[in-house]
Amino acid sequence: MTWYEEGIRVVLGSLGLYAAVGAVFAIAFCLQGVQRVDSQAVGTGWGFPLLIAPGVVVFWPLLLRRWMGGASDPPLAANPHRGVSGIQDREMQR
Amino acid sequence: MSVQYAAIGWSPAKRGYDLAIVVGVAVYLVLFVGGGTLLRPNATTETLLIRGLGTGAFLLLHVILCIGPLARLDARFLPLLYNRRHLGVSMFLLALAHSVFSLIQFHALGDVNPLVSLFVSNERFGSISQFPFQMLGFFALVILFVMAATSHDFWLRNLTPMVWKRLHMLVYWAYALLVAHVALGALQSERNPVLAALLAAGAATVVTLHLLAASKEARLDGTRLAASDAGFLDAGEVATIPEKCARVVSLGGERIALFRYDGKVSAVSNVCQHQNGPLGEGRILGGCITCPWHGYQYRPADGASPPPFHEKVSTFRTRIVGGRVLVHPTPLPPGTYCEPAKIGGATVPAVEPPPKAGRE
Repeated sequence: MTWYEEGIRVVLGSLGLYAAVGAVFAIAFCLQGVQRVDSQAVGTGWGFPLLIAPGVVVFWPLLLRRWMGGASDPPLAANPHRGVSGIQDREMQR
Repeated sequence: MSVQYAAIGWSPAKRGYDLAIVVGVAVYLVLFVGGGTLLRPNATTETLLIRGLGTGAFLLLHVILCIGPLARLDARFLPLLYNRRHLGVSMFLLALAHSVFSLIQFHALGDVNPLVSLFVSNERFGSISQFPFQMLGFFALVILFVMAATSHDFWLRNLTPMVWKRLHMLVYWAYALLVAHVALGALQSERNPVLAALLAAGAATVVTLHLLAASKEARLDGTRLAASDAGFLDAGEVATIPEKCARVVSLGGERIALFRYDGKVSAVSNVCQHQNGPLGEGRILGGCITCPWHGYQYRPADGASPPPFHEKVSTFRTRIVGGRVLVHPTPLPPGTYCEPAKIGGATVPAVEPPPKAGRE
């Protein structure tokens, strides 16, 4: 086996492991976590978790951190107009 | 508008749009495979299907990439923009089917993992005619997957519009990879110059439309407003703003939409909170500014979505003097009520010092 082939196997194996962990996390997140980190996800049907599940597999570290951090809503996006007018976080939007 | 997510916010227009996509894709595949069988009797159905799926996805990607600049150049293309996400997901599914069938056909018959085989079966990176073009398609597919997987509004809100937009701008990398995938793959085995000309024409169309749209945007951003009194800037004649519509002006590279309605003028940030859509290209419907991209609505006087929604955009103070609209360049906190300037009346909004950082 060449170093190239070995490298490919390591990279693909690592990605597979990352995706496998993400898939397990996605089940828990779609069942419970999503409602904790985003108030707009409360009371949705079964179609919504199914649609976001593939993305959860990709971005699971971000969502895990937000879930563990107890965030109830995502941060508000930066915007030049909001920045100038002093509005920086979602709480100020409510 | 967002209070609670739905899997898909179906509307008659969306159903029609999706039906057109499904029918269009099915007709294309039938014609491609059927026509291929007649023209190339030696080609297997599997090969024709793989190529039909691949070319179908590539054609759809061209359409998707052209819709954005076309809509900016001519508002009649806006309806195509509204449900572009569904078109994007459809394109990804076609590309995925093309990839899976290709992987099965060319890499699944040995004792090596098909994905590993994809990367190690051909290492002739220095060759043009035998370049391992499949890898380029793989990387493009990864980008298209991330885009399709994050196409729901949940991701827009949770990644924030700016990050989401940057992520989805990777489509141009995917496009470049796919052009190389086709040029180094199919065009090396199919030496027909018409196919090469079609590939070049497609790329030229995408590039030209983007340059034209960028040129139009640059002209708007390059316009400087003349200073008036009390820090206000002259934004031009009120008569030039169509009723229930807006004119967009640029202040220091940031755009403001000046809406005229019911004998009044209000100014709001041109950037929709949903997906950074161009509010100034929308209209006032039912008393609310309506984003042309996905229909998010804001009241013109305070930039707030009507209850129960809670999106808000910044507002700007306006005056009308001598038939000209004056706008103060300092944005007010999103959702702040600002007395509209009355056209032809003596009403002038109270000029207050620009707000400091703080809660409403």
